Amino acid sequence: MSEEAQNKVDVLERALKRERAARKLAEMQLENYTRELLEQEVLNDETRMEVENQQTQLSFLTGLLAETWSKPTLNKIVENYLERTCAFLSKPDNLFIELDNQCNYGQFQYYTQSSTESEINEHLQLLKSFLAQLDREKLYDLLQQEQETQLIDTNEISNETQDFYQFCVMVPLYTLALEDKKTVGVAVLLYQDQQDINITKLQTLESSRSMLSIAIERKRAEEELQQQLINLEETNKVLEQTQLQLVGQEKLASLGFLAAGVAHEINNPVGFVLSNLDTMADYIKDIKSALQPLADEPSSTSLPQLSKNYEEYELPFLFEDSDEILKSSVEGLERVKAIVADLSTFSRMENDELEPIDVTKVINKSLNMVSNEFKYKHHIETDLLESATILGIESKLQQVFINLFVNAKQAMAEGGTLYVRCYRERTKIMVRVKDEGKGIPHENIKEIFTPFFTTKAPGEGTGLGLSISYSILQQHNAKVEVLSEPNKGTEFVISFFEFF
Amino acid sequence: MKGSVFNALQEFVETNHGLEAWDTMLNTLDLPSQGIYTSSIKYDDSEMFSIVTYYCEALNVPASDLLRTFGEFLFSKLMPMAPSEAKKAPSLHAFLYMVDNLIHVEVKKIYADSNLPEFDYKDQSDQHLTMIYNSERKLCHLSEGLILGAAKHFGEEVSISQSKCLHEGDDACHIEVRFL
Ligand code: HEM
Repeated sequence: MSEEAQNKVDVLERALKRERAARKLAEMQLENYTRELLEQEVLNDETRMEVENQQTQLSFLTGLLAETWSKPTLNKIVENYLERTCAFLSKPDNLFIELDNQCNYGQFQYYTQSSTESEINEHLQLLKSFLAQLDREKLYDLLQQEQETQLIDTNEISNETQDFYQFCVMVPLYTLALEDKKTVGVAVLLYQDQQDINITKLQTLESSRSMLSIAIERKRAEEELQQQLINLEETNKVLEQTQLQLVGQEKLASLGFLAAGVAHEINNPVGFVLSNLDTMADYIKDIKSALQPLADEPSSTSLPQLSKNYEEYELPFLFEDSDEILKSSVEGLERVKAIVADLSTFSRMENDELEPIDVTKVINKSLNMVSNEFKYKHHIETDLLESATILGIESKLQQVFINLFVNAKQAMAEGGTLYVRCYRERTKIMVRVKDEGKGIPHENIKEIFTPFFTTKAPGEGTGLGLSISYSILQQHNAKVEVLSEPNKGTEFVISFFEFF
Repeated sequence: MKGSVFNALQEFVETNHGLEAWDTMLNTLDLPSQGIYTSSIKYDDSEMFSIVTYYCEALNVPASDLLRTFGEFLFSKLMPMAPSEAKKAPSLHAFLYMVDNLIHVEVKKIYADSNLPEFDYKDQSDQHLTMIYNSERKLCHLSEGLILGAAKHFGEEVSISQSKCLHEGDDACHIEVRFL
């Protein structure tokens, strides 16, 4: 081979070597690219999965958050939580347990998810038997030790060996301390296989816990408040009822008082009229016997006997006494008639129309009604106007005066005088009712018109008397003033507008 | 500079001066790459300048002429890689406008490590276009050749001159393209 030819071959060989090397490089470059591409793809997949994961976690959190706040009760919040958690974690059967420090169940809920009804029933059965075998003391202790979500072997909190649920995740949801009672609420997620436990998702669950706790505590407070409101309403209702009853009792009491007074007033005259009639019956018998000779023989012969009998039977005395008896009987019956007339005023109690009435007459009538009470140790002194017309309701005003008079008497347990004065002061009719009783302590004066205020022993008075009187006087546009000095007495000063 | 440009240069030298011319140059210069160029790999710019300088001396031609002629050749190698929108350009003018705005943009996307020039466009009319070239490689004459190659491709006639040049101390090359 010529040198030139040899040269050409060498050049070609070198060119070929370079080409081969370049191709090798290109192939390596291609491999690198392919690998990079694959890696990129894997990375892409991972990123996509990561994004998807984050999305499901986010939607779990936001969904849970939104729904938690919208649930009306604690039970519904928990129910929603179990349902969401089960869907989010895909596998576990969920339990919610509330325990107090005595390890008693406050409440519990189950949750399981499956497409077939038979499987759901089977799992519910498993959940129930797990709950039955639960070592509550152990669970409570564990919750006291650790406040965060924890993963444990199911056998740790069970009295019997668990062969279905192997692992459990405990998510403490809330702790409530009420006085000496402490309550904890915990979600227990039960797994058959450790493979099913997704730590990332559990972390998400853990991060939802604080928000859930807040929501639950809020709801608890709300429910508590609601309960308090219901209690308050009930108390109020009871109070209203008692008040109604008491007003009724007060009416009954004044009616009872009236009835007792009336009975006494009527019984007295009726009693002596009856005994009078008894005496009269005896007298008639005597008179009959004295006059018997007139029936037995002709009058010509009976006269001496009649004369004798006239003396013997004391007929002059009988006739004289009969007059007396009849007179007092009529008086007694007339008194009964008057009392009945007074009573008829009371039967018109509910008539609310104001009409011209005579205060003097009302005071007198009221004094009549209570006079029996003042008979023994008490006196009544009156200084009244001839007549004093105001606009009012006789029956109601009478109730006021009776109330004031009876109070006055009760204030003077050892006896004393009741002064009732009525006089004019410009356009006003003034009535003063004064006693010599023990008086009202200074601090009580402004309370005496308050309903239910009483210094009397329980059962003696309802404390409504003066307040009813007060409201009646207001109805009459009357003003009341109370002057009282301890151990000297009390004076009620009432001013009415005179009606012309 | 990308291996593809060296590949084109090798082809240009081998077709015009034979296999030995390329081989002798490599034997003489002893370049770091040993003359093994793979199109997608980036090689040091200085290798390109060494080769160009070597041929200018060997052939006794100014670098500007050599680069212009090589540019014309290079265009036919680059054009097949251009995006289809550029291939369908309605005129040379429209195509030149796409170099900076589309073609090199797409190149940069495919090869993030590529070093491309910057073009600004001025005085655009039916007859005239000023392409303002800027690059630290100062390859304005290569550009002229590329433009000439493009004109041939589109079947248009142009005259090219530079009113300003980086090699003259200006801060950019103003390549004046006149459409005849
Ligand atoms: C008239 C049209 C064109 C002109 C004036 C032009 C101009 C240039 C110039 C001057 C360079 C050298 C680098 C520099 O100066 O900094 C270059 C590089 C390059 N151009 Fe263009 N070009 C044109 C068309 C094209 C086309 C159609 C393609 C095809 C996709 C292309 C792809 C490239 C590539 C791949 C490089 C090498 C980049 C590197 O080495 O990193 N060019 N171009």
